[in-house]
Amino acid sequence: VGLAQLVRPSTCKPCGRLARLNSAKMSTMGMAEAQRTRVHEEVEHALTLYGSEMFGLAMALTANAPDAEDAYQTAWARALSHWDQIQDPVKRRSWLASITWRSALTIRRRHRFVDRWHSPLQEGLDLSRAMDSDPTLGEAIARLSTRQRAVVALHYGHGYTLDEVASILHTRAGTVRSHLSRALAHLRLGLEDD
Amino acid sequence: MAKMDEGRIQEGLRQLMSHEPPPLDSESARSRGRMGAVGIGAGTFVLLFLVLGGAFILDHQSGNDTPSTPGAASSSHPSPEPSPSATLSPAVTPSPSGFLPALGPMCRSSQLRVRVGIQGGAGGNGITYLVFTDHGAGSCKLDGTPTVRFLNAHGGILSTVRVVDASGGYVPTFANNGVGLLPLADAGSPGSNGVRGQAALPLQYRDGACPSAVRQVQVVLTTGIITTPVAISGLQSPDCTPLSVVVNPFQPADWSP
Repeated sequence: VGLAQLVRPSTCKPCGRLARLNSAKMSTMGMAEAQRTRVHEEVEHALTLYGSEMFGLAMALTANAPDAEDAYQTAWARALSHWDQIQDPVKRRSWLASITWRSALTIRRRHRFVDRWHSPLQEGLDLSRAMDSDPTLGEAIARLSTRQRAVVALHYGHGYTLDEVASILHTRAGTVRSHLSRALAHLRLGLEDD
Repeated sequence: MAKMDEGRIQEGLRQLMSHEPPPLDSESARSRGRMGAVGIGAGTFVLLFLVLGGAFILDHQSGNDTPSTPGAASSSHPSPEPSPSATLSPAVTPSPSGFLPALGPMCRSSQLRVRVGIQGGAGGNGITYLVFTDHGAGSCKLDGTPTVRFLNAHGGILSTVRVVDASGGYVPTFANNGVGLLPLADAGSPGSNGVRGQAALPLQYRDGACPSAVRQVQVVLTTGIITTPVAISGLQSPDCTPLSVVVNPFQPADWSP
């Protein structure tokens, strides 16, 4: 599983995402051979290091599996297209988290119309299934707003400080603290019902 | 929030972050419930639109001297002639790929022009896109994987190409049984030179894999043969293994290579 799937035989069915991945990979075709090889190797390495984490974040942000997959794959396509924007490897993790956040947000907005008919219970089921050791927590997190989920996932799941979370979400630290406090209040209620 | 609950959240989310991610090119299994909801919503909208649209047209046809009643739109009345102002949407046949319209008949070779698009590759693989543009009067489609022949400078066929009629090779591609040439954003505009749409044919090969210089490529369609000059550097290496080129199915191409 990895970047190689973008360049090796694929049985991918037609979908918008494939077009995105394809064009993202095509964007590296213009690079010099050495640069392209380096970028592919670095992305492959990052995928190994942060793939699970990014997908978990996408899952927490979207709270349903299909949207999480969309967000996750879109995020990697975007990362591949703009890989050299981040020269410092230390910053890559938070950069990838930021891309995943933006991808998830885009997908959530795109599905806002659909979500009017979409029961939040289904999202709770998806997330609780993914968090099978504590399904109640999954359901409680699914009931939070997308931004609250982002703050909780980045702070507790990834271990970022609230200032770092603010930087990833491109917002102020005070806003993050406010989201966290409300999220914890909602979670407390949800978990007390348990 | 008690520390114990924070620990519980931390533990739960850490577990969530340790799941194996899905493959990058997998197709997500969107829930039936969601698609069903979309279907019901869209269906209701279309039905409502048709009913209201039909009532509106009938109302206009009957004139202002006749008061319109709900009964006026009933099916017992003869069907009205199409109003000049009422435009009918062209019927779109769903394509096998599901996201592109299958438009018109098979493209005739006379209405197509072919040129060499992007050439590149990595990791010992080369890829050349042949780009087909539709200059005919109507939309048309290309389907499946055509036979491709490589010719030398004298027009002699160099070798038989291994054809793969499936998605595969260096670049992910779509299998297809007929997709319309992708209409370009500027199709029909003055600067588009009459191009109605375009498709690409990916040719994928190992670098340095050909015994002779390739000067032309010939694509055999069911409606004719198209030949175009091409220079494929990877296929002109003097010390090469027998020619083996993977020919993919026609692909939609919305870029301008």
